[in-house]
Formats: sequence, structure tokens, C-alpha cells
Amino acid sequence: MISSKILIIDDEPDFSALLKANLDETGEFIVQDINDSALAVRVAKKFKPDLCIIDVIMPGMDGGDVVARFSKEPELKDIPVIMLTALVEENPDSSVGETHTCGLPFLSKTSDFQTILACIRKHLREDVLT
Amino acid sequence: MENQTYSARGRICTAITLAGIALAGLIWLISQLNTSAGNQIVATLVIISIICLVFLTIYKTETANQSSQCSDYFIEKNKLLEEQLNEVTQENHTLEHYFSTLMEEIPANIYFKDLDSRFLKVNQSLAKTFDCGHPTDLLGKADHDFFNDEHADKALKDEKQILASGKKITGQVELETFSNGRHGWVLTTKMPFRDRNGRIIGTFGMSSDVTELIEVKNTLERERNMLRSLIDSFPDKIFVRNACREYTLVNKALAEWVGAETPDAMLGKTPDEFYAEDVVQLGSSEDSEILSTGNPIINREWKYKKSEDDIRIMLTTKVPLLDEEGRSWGIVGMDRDITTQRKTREDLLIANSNLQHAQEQLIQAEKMESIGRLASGVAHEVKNPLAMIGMGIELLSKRIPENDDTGQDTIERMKRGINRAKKIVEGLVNFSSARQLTRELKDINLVISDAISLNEYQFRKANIHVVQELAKDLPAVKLDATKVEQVLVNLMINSQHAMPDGGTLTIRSYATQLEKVIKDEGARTADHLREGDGVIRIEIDDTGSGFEEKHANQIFDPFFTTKPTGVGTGLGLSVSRKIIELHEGTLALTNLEAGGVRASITLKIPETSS
Repeated sequence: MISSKILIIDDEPDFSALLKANLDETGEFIVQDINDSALAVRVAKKFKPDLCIIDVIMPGMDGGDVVARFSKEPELKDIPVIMLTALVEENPDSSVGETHTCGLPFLSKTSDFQTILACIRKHLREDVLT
Repeated sequence: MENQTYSARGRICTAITLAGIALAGLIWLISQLNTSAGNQIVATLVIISIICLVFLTIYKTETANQSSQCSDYFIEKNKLLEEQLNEVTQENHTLEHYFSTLMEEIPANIYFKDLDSRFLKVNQSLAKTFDCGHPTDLLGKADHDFFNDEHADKALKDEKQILASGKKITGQVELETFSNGRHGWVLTTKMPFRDRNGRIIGTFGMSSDVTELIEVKNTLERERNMLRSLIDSFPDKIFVRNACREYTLVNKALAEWVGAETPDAMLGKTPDEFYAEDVVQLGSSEDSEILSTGNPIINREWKYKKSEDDIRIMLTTKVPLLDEEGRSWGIVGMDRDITTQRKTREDLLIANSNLQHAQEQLIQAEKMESIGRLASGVAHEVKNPLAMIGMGIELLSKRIPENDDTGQDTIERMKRGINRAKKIVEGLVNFSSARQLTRELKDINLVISDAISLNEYQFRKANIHVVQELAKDLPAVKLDATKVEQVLVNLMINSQHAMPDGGTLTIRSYATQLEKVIKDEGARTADHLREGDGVIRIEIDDTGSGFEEKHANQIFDPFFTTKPTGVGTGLGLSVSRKIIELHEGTLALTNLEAGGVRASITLKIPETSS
């Protein structure tokens, strides 16, 4: 089984490290995390992730800017993205707790790891199907 | 009598003497005839003549006596007459003295005028009034020499009238104005002046200076008029009653109040002619007490039924009126209608209370806003570390061996703690994010049905019977369906928690007109609703134990909860009310008489809604 590559872009190094550790623990993913959003495009181009988990509120370039920049990059524009942020609450109506806004899935940062994992798997699966 | 007797005798003797002379003449004539018959006749006549001569002698003797007696009589009589004359003269002197004393001493002006109204005689007082040295200086002068034309003409006219009619003018008050402008008031009496035969030969009169008296009278009159105007201008009902309870003074306000035509129409009458029996009885007993004790009644408040639907609140003050000896002879009183003032005062009190209420609301609302802003900030900042801890616990849980019960238990407890913290943060976010709504016209019954559906399973599990009393064809309401659904779910969960042993949950909806706006502390938007507004009401009744009245003012406070720790965050009701307020509606909780709580949501029906 080929591991999916996940890029975490979050200015909180403690959170990104712990999320990465949990994802690593599953053995399903190859995970890289960066805490400087300015490096996001460059790292993504090099890392070539299958999915990006992006925080929204970040200094300098915020999550929205990162997505905008990705959309301009042909090699990055089709990479599925999950916006993981403290701005939203877990959506009880969604099986994976996500809320869709502006065509992007938003997931609460306080969602438990299993919910986040389910959401990641769902979007990877959808990406494969498409 | 004696003199009369003398006179009669004298007349008889004179007659006999004359008769004797006549007879002597006759004898002489007959003797010339020389006849026997003639001789006889002569003889007879001689005898008669002798008798006459005897009588004549006797007469003359008596006459001489009588003359002596008459002379004494007349001397005596003359003496008497002289005495009488002396007495009369003396009396005349006395009278003259009296008259001159009267003329000179009396402090009044006395004058006598001729037919041309010129002074014949005046007294010293008048001379002084006219600034003349002596009364004789005025003789021959007239009023026009001293007074201005107006007064002199008037006096002349009066005097001509007296001369013509012979009637006197008495007690006439006149304003005398002298030529030099000096003036004064006099009380004057003018009469015709007659001679001994009763013929009018002029006028005479007397005038007294009453300037001071008239000025006092005018002052009193002015003061009386002022007092009258004053009491008539008072809106209060003022009266004076004597001991028999008869009105002796009444002002206009009282006359109008009781429907009398004029204040004077009430004078001499008693209150029973104007007031109902109960009012009369109360007033009568009060008056008796005031008159007997002398104690006034100050500001007694009472209700006066002016008509069936017009009850007035009156304030009465009554004070005894005392005579010189300090005895009460009557009562002066004043009734004031304070209905309007009382109503104004009550309105003011209500307004003040409302103002205080509004102030409390504002303070409370400000508090809520501050909490909301604080919560929003705190929530975001807390979420990140919470997420980290969550991730950390997730990682650590995999490191703890399955047989390490204490370790596993610790991890579970930490996970529960995280979840509790997450709920609180979620509540805080809801509380602050409730400010943004997406409203559109919706059928409220659909929102209610969705909320029930979401809780259906929970209700069944908790043995709660749900009764729906949703009115059909309710007008659409402009609302954020998601938020209102959140409120309904919240209230239903509260009801469920209030019925741990099961019960009945009744959800009702209906349209109505708002009768009274219930202001609630902290409810900032209650002012959007006005009495008479068309509203939709949603009521959620449970059959639980209700809330304690002492908590009535706290139930909407953030973090206030009576639920066990961990079950409720204390944010549900404050968030719910916040959401309803943003819909310009109200949310209220009341204990039901039969037990349980009614949550009542009132939402305004938009005017455009059909």
C-alpha cells in the first residue's frame, strides 16, 4: 500500500508536530509539517503532497492566501485541502465534522483525532475517485 | 272772672243811665202836651227817672271802685309780661349761643345760601376749608368762586332742584375739587331754607370731610375685590360656612364644581343641596368636630364620585373661623382635585421605574456584549492549546499498554476533560457568533418540526411524551432557521433535563396580538415589540419541577446553571435569548401553576408577511 503524503501548514509548531506524530502513528501517511506559510508553495512543490492540511489564522500569509497561491500553481491547484481551524465548530450534520465554505472543507481544530483522520481519508478517497 | 263781672255790671248801669236820660227827654216832651194822661205819664216817668238816677249813682260808685281794681290788675299783668319777656330774651340768647356754638365748633361745614345759591351765612369750618379768614368773607360768594366748574355746576344743579322741589338731599357722598386742584370726599346734606311762613328763601346744608373714610373704604373695596378675584381665580374650591353649615362665601370654582349657576346662588344654602348624602354626612361630622375642638383638618384625601365613571381624588383642608372671643363661628375650607396630579405622579413613578428598568437592561445588555466579546476572544485562544492537548492525549493513549488500567483510566479522564472544555468553548463561540444572522421568511412550524425531529430519539429514551399544538396557516416570519432551531433544541434539551423521570413536553405555536410588552433585564431588543403588534408565539411547556423563583433573574446569565457539573455549560439560555433578541423577539421563562416551566418565544410578524 502506498502511503499518502500529507503536508501540514500551521504556525503552531506544537500542534503540527503532535498532529504529524499521530498521523505517523497510523502508518498510512508520509507527513511533513511546516510552520512558516511563506514556505508553503516551495515545500509543496518539492514534497508533492496528496493532501494539505492548512490552518487559517497565520501571521503573514494566512490559510486563504496559501490556497490562493496553490490555485495558481498548476502542479498544486488540484491537491485536496482541508482547512483546519479554531474558527469553526465541528459540524454535527457532517459524518466527518466538516463544514463547506467557499468550496473548501473546514474542520474544527478541536475535533478529536479520529474525526480529523476520517476527514483526511474521505478527501484522499474522493481525490482518488476523481 | 272778677273782671268780667265788673264789665257786665258796668254795661248794665250804662244801659240804665242811658234809658233814664231817654225817659227824661220823653217826660219833657209829654209835659209839653198838658193833658191829665200826660201828667200821669210824667209822674210815672219822673219816678222812673229817679230810679235811673239812683242806679246811675250806684253805677258810678261801683265804676270808681272797679277802675281802681283794674289798675292793679294791669300793673300785675305787665310785670308778669316783663318777666316772660325777660325769659324769652334769655332763651333767645341761649339759643343764639347754642347756634353760634354749633356753627363754630362742629367739625363740619355749614352754610346758608340765598335763592341764587350765594352764601348768606357760613361757619368757621367752611371758611377754613375755603381758605378764608372769616366766615363773613364768604358772604355773597358762590361755589364757582371756590370749586372747579364740574363740582360747582353739580352743586348748583342740586340746589336748584331743592329750590324747585322743596325736597332735601341727604347723605350724598361727593368728590369736591377746588379750583386749585385740591380735592377731597364729603358727605353732604342739603335742604330748602324756609322763612317763618314756610316760603323757600334759599338752601342750607352741611358737609363733613370723609376723605379718609372713603379712602379706607376704597382700600377695603380694592382689597375685597382683589380677594374675590383671587379666590375666584383659584382652581381649588374655596368656601366659608357658618355654624349652621350655610355657605357665606363661595368661589367660582366651587360653584362650577357643584353645578350652581353662580357663587351667589349657593349663599345661604347647605351642602346637602349640592352633594351626595355620604359626602354630606362625612363633611357634617368633620365640621362639628372642627367647631367643637377648634382643630383644623389639613389635606385629608378622599374620593369623590362625580359621576358613575368619574371618580376624583380630592384633598380637603378645613380651618375654624374664630370670633373676637376665640369661639368658632364657622369654617373656611378648600377642596383640591388632585386626580390629574396623582395620575401624573403615578405616570412619573412608572416612567421612573421603566427608566430604571431600561437602565438595568442597558447595563445588563452591555455586560452581555462585553462577555460576548471576551468569550469570542478567549474561545479562539483556548481552542489552539485544547487542540494540542487533544492531539497529545491521542498520541499518549497509544503508548500506554492495554493492561495498564490506571494509565488508560487517566487518559479517558483527560479526554472527558478535553471534551468538557471543548463544549464550553463551543458555547462561548455560539454566544459571541449569535450576532450574525441570515434571515429569510420561513414557516416557523417547519423549524419547530425539524427541532423536534433532532430530539425525537432522546425524548423516547427519556420517556417523554411530545404533544404538538401547532396552529395552521401561520404567517411566515423572517428568521435564521438554523439559529432558531438551535434555540428550540436548546430549550427542548432543558425541558428534557427538567424531567428525568419522563413527562410531557407540549410544543405550541399560534399567532396573536401583543397585549403587554414584558420588559426583561438584559433584553436589549424588547423595544422592537409594541403593544398591539401581530406576533407569533412558540411555547414549550414541560411537566418538570420548575425553577426556583430566586433564580428568576439569573437564569439567562452566562454560565448560570442548576444542572450537575459537566451536564450543562450555563450558556444555552443566554445564547438562546441572544439569538431571539437578534430576531427582535423575546424569550421568557415562567413557572406554570400546574408545575413545570413554560419557555415562551415571541417573534414579530413582518407587516409584509401574508
